[in-house]
Amino acid sequence: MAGLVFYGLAGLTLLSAMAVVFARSPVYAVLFLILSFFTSAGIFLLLDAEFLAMVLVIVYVGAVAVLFLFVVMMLDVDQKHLEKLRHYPWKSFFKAALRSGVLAGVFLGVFYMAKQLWGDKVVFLSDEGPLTHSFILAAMSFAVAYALYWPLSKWRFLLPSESAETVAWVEGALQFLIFAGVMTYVLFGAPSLEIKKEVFDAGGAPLSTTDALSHLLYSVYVIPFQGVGVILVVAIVAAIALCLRHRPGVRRQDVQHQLKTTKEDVLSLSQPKVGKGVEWTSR
Amino acid sequence: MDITLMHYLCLSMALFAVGVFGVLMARKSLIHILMSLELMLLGVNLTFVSFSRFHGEVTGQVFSLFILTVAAAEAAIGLAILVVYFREKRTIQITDMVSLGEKVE
Repeated sequence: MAGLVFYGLAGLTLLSAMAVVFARSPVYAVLFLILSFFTSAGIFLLLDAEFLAMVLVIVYVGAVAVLFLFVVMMLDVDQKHLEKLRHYPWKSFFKAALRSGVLAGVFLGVFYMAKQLWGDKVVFLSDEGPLTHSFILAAMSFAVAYALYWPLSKWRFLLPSESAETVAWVEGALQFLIFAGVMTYVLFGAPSLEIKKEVFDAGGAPLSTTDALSHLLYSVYVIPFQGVGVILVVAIVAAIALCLRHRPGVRRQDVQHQLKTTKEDVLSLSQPKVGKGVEWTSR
Repeated sequence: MDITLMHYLCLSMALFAVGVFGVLMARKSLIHILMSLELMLLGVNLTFVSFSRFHGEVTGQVFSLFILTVAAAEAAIGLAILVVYFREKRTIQITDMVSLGEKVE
């Protein structure tokens, strides 16, 4: 049951995240962003992080996403620019995706064959071995990284020079980096991924995550907590200062000017003669 | 169907990858890039929370909370800069921001 919920939420999250990236209209993109925030709040709930889930819904859906929506609707974004997406090199993207998928498949196939053959002899290849999960993860990350690195080969302007040698060199270096990273991860990073499934405890008594979080936040992390508050204040002040504009011709209260004004500036005494009135002089 | 740490990590990795893809597709407007950044931060948050859950340690959630706050501040300032830029230049297209260089097609 939990698995079903997880897969449903994860699929929705990923789909709406992709919709954020690919949506042609910014308004739809923001709405899909809100949907992905909602579903990931559900995933946080699955992870027993109920406080963070609520914060995600309140802060992100309630504030940040609505801010995005306001900005998108305020700005008169030119739609014809967005049509450029059509000229995107989709063909090479699908080619790269296919290539990386095949590579990951080969990896996984070799691994499972090795597991079938020597699974009961070599500890590393057994079901409980640290290699099993990390290998799957490594293959998947390899596939994703390979699918992602293709923009470099397409967008030459990101490179220092456009000559074929430079392109080949950068591609080779990237491939090597990806491969080395994955291999390092598989060989050395795997043992740290042992999974402990403990509920958060405080001296045996069950403690809700929100409780534990508050204890930690107001004791150990009180200084960073205050620092985050300062950051928020700075953000507010900066945002207001950036967006404040003075239109010419608008009457506005100037407190400094008001305080600087003395009696001599505004008051003039005159002795009018009878029947003559007072002559008006502007200062 | 037991959901392990690996499932959550895969999900957050995929979220982050989608965000990176959105940022790299720099043919779009600044607002798309900001939204992709939010997606990337969401993926990172998911990693923190899942590790926190499976290590039985709440510290990860504390950091996730900090990330959320700083991301909110970043979004606010980024959008403010966006609005100011739009007022000045009447465009938020990445390819139009070429004051310091030549125009890329």
